[in-house]
Amino acid sequence: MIGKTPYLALAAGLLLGIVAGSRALVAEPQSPAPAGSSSAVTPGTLGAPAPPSRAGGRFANDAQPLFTKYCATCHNPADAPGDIVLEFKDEADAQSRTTMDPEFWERVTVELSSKQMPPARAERYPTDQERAVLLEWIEHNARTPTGQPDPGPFMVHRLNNREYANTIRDLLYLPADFDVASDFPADERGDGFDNNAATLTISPLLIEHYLAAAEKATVAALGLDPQKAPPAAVTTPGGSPTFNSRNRLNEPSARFREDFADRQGKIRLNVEVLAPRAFRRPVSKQEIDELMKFAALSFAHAGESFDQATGLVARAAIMSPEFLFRMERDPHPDGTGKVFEITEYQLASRLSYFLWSTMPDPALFAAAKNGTLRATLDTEIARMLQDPRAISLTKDFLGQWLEIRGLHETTNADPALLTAMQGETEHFFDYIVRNNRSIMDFLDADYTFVNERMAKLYGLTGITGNDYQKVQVDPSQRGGIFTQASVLTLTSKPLGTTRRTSPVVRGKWILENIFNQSIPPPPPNVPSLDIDPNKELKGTVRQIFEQHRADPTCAGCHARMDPYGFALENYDGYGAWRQQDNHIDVDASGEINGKTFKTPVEFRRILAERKDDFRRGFIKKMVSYALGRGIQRDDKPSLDAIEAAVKAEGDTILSVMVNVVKSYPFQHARGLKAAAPGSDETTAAMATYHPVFVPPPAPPAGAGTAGRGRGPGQNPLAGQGVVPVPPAGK
Amino acid sequence: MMRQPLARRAFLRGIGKGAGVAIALPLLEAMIPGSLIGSAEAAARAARVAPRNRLVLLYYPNGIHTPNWYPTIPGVATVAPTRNPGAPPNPSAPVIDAQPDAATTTTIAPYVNAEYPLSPALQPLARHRQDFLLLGGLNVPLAKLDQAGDHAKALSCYLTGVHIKKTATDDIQSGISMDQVIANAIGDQTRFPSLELGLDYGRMEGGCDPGYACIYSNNVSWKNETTPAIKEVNPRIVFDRLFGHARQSDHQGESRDMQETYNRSILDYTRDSLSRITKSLGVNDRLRVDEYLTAIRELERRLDAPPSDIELPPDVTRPTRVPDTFKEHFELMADLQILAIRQDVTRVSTFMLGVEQSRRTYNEIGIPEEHHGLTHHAGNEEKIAKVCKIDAYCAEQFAYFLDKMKVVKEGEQTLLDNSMVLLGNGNGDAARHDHYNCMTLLAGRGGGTLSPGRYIKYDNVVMSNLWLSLMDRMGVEVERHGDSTGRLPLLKV
Repeated sequence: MIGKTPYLALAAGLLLGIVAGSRALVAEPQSPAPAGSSSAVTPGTLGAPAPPSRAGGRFANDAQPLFTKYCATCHNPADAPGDIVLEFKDEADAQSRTTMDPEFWERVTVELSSKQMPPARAERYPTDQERAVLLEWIEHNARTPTGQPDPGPFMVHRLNNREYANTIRDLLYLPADFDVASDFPADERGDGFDNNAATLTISPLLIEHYLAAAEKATVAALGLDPQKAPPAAVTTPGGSPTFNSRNRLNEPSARFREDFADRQGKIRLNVEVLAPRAFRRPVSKQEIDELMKFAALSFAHAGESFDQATGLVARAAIMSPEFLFRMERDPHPDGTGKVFEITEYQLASRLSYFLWSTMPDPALFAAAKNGTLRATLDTEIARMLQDPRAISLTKDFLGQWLEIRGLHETTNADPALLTAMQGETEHFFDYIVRNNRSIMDFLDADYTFVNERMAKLYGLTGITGNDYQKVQVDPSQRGGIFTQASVLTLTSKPLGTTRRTSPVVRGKWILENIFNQSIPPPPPNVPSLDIDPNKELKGTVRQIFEQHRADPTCAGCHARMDPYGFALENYDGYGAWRQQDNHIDVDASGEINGKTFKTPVEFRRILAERKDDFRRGFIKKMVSYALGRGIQRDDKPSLDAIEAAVKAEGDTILSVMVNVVKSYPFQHARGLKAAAPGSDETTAAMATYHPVFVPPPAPPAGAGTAGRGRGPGQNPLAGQGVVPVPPAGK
Repeated sequence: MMRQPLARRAFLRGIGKGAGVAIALPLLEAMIPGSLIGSAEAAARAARVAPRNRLVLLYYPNGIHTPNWYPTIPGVATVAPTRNPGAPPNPSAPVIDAQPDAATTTTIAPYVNAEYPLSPALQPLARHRQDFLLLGGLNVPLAKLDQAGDHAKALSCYLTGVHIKKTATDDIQSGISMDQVIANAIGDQTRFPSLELGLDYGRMEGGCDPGYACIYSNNVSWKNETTPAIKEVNPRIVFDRLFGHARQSDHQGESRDMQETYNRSILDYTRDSLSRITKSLGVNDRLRVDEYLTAIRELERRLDAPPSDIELPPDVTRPTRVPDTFKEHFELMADLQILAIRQDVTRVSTFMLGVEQSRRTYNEIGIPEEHHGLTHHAGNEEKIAKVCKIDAYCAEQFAYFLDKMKVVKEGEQTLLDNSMVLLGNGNGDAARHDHYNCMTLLAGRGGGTLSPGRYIKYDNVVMSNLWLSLMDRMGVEVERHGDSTGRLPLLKV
């Protein structure tokens, strides 16, 4: 870096201008911000007066000089390592850092409090007292958000591909292996998870996939095959059709089939069961009416087949935004965009998509209908975690949290071995979930799960077959998730036809995935460590990396990451135990936060002491996954509350789930701001449901409907030559 | 200082929504009411508007080894100096504001050479050298803003010309890409407004570029600030989308007529449900719902289009799977794309040969290492040689694309004569990520609007100027696109 100091003032000015300018761009709402929206105005937002410091003027006198003295030499606008700039115009400027980076002060706090910053090569170090001054200012003036928990903005969640496939399967009673989304375009991910509302976009391509999938799924569900002779009803001499198929979508009307007087009335029975399940809430009579038009359409085009008609209605229902989107609307909207407690039905959906990645089951619907779900969350969650559908937590949460869903992208490894590795970690996680183990097992469990293939890799004997068995591990060799082969392989690199370890990748993986710390990217123009994958190494991997670390520009971050990786040098590129690397004895010693270790056992002991850090990181990941959005600064009070409760309840996985579900952002949503005047009627109509039918499926006595409709709406089939269906159940 | 970017952003928003876009179409054509599009009259009118031009954009991931791609000519620099001339000393400095509002920033006259020596990487294209322009000196300066994340920025700044928001979380912010501006303006003349294809979806797990959401590293085409135009990678699905209706026998379900009737009704129903929802949503929150409405409109328009006269050539068969090798996959997607534009199913398409930071291995040419890893060669000769080999392999595929375009006759001319096919990347040199002198190869004659067969080296011009010039040639004249400062001169002599 050239001429840093002379440029500093100029650069700082420019950068601040840019930051402020671009923030204005981002924050500028397209219309007036919803009233009561705390996200619209944050301390230090452009134009808003900075709130007075709670510590009253201490910033300029105490904190700012310390930041300048100890931090800003490197963390200035020109260098900004890790995108952290700790040079401030004034207190408001400092507080506004979170506008661009919600976790800004969180990150600074972690570095400061763990004494990882300033780095070892720094010229000056703050005293403990000075550190405390900085941390106190952060805690009281920058880190603490509005102080009020906030559910975040109103969100529209499109079902992602796996949620879509699972929901279709459950809604239409299709076989477990029916994956209608297998060739959908891949979902994007946000914050590491593919259920992030912001990245679940819609495109014509996707709608085309949906249309085709809807046809495919309903055909499969109803056993329809249009290529064969039309399964249209056989007309008896009396003029009434008979039925020759049985399936669960037609069950509700089945018992009435002896009476053929009102064909559409019978289909209506099917639809009255299907629609609330598809929309995951009670539906209005009008909504049923609209769907019933598809029964008429089917009658007109495909003959008077009950199955065809039910199928077409189902097809329409699963194209509806009410099916494809999860969006929680305020049941009592006042147009202000206020925060409301979500309804029991909304809660049932949140819960089932969190724990199962699919629609609520009959028991959840029943609890929602009776209004007892919120009161029985503990038992419901415990029940749900025992259900086979909870496998989605393993496949989707674990798979993305630890990145092992991408294990098969690994090169230079036998795919069968990779599958076996993945199986170990999945069984391990599944065991923790189903047995309500402590989440601290991830740090130092003395057990794991192996099949024959994994046993061979780990040097265990007496285990045969593909099934996994729980085994005690040799504590001198293994313990905790980061000693599992899946993770160790994922974090190694190709070398010729085999794989070498990468202490840096391993260290980074542990810090990011286990302790939820972000590691800044390497500064630009620093060559990455040059290990030719086609050449033999000279010396151990550690020796080569130690040389790399000698470079002072790299030493700071690597001093933090690498010890975690060096500690794992006893595991080769596939996770097998080794005493030697390249014929030289492995050196797995190191120092983390001032604590030295020589063996994996000692290393594990140090990690196991960091329960608070792990708990915090794990909960953040879980909350982000549960809500389908990134963590925001106003989540801090909620996160703190969850953490405290989980700790008090012994860190069990159930306590994590229960407290996440009971947390403020999970239980609340933000209402909608009213649209332009003139739409009051529709707003009210949307908000008021007229339940006609509530799952679990149980045909009512008689086909009467209890709701009242809004009168005929726009006929979606107008111009199609279709006669609107007369109301059923006279 | 703070006001200026605001005004600028508002202007860009306007473009994104179609306002301020002047469409240079013959009056007659522009006045055809939407309802008539697709009618026999409209078809007859459209036929008189000739010749139609097409734009195909091929995106090559990671970037090139520049010295091996551009010819070595004394006095014509291809590698960025340590500090780019004119670039501010601080990479975070306000490039946006630094650029003048109009005219061109070029201070040195472009270097033009029709006799330039073909560099090693371009040898596979020797037979086509009279059919493409090799363009140098085009930069993507906005990709230099902020720290790190060069791959994400290279891709998402490329066709959008905007400063993408550095975020790994919810608040994605990019801009509309050039191909989508064209699609919005003239897309209603074809069955598909645009096509988005690719050879892979991108990373499924873990992070992509530090600090940037994967969505930035996976998508070159953006419908608006927050929504990419997602790509299809499965040739079978592409075929069914494009030509399914021409091949009834391929469809296993109900008859096409019945399917269409049903789908129309379903879309009607869905739209009604959506409009009821939008009415109840605040304006800031309806984006996702709007996306659905837009998608429905596009699908309906396609259903309304006449059952086009597409007759697939007899040798065209429906692909059944995703091929295993890069080459086979590329060729299949290229064939489909060429088929689509020759049948006028669409006139603009993007085709990503890989996502940014592509970790593809090219075993078929003896390269088992991951492409991205190799490009960070740190001067290692063996790695550089491999990067060069992959670059040349890419050129070879491009040559295949051009071969196929030339085979198709359109009257006296070929399909390539009436098209513009671009091969490019936003990284510049793959090892340096300097977004400087970015790989740009523009083939075709654009219906007589391009004069290929030359090497033009501009003096540090923003890439968006090229986009402006290409949009002109598609009949879509806009005042600006992203960070453009003017039109690119000399493309036609």
